[in-house]
Amino acid sequence: MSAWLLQSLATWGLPLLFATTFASCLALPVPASLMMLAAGAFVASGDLPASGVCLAALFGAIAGDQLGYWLGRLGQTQLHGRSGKSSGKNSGTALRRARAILQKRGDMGVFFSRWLFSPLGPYVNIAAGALAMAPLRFTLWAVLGEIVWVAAYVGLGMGFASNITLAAELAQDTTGLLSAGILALGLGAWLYRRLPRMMRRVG
Amino acid sequence: MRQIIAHLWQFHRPTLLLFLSALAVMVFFGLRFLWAVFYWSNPVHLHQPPAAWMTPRYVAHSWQVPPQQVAEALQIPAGLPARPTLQDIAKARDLPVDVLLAQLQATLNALQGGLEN
Repeated sequence: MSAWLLQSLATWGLPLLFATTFASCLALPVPASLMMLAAGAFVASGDLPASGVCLAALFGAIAGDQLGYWLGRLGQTQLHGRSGKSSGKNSGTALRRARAILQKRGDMGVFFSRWLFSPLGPYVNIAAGALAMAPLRFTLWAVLGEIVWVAAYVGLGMGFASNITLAAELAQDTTGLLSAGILALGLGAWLYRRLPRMMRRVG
Repeated sequence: MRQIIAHLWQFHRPTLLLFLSALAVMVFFGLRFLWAVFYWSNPVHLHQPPAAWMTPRYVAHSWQVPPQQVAEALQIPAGLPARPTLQDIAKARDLPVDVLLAQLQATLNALQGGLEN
């Protein structure tokens, strides 16, 4: 699948790029970052237009996010209709807590799950819809995040056009390093706050 | 320091383990990043070997050779789409794609040798 998509990029160009980023926002297993890198390389070689590549990738991703969000929203309405009858008080509490977290951290969650923690993106879309995050707010942060995602990968493909295998490797290592770093920082802070006061200064 | 670790180990073991795993993952990607920079800084590895998905222009760009010379070496048949891939060209020329790629690689090596001298 991945080889076929890359093979078809020169032939199908922008529509295929649109379809790839669209599909990746719905958790379908497509190599969206590799395709954007290759498209960036084709921009550098003069095979594809820069603005077209950026717009196709960006609109594909935005459309995919919106579909995920509204599917979540639709599912939630049906779930809500049913939950009144079958489930008890607990599910309501869990839902309220999830909503509270979304209220507090939703913006950053949506933004960072576009590009830094991109494997989580599709699920965040559905969750944001299901928890009824305000559509405009979701769209704003999703679009900003996708701009970073597309600009980073297309830009990297253009900059490292002579070798996109290298570009792909650097991108993978950087996102791995950054996401593990943020996770370590968060966990470290959590642990630090739980230390008895007398121990805090020593560390 | 030992006291701190002992405390966390006793009261927050899962989080501590998760924290240490995150650190290990950081080290892993950090080393991989350094290795990539080291490996690719070697000029021998700089250019990307021709592959079926590439266009002639992309190959020319990657190897920094004139596009006309790549086009000539490939003997691109008439009537192909606007951005033929090496796969398309091999098919139109009735050649196995591997053969075309090997021929192109030889041409690129020769061209680069010529450009450098």
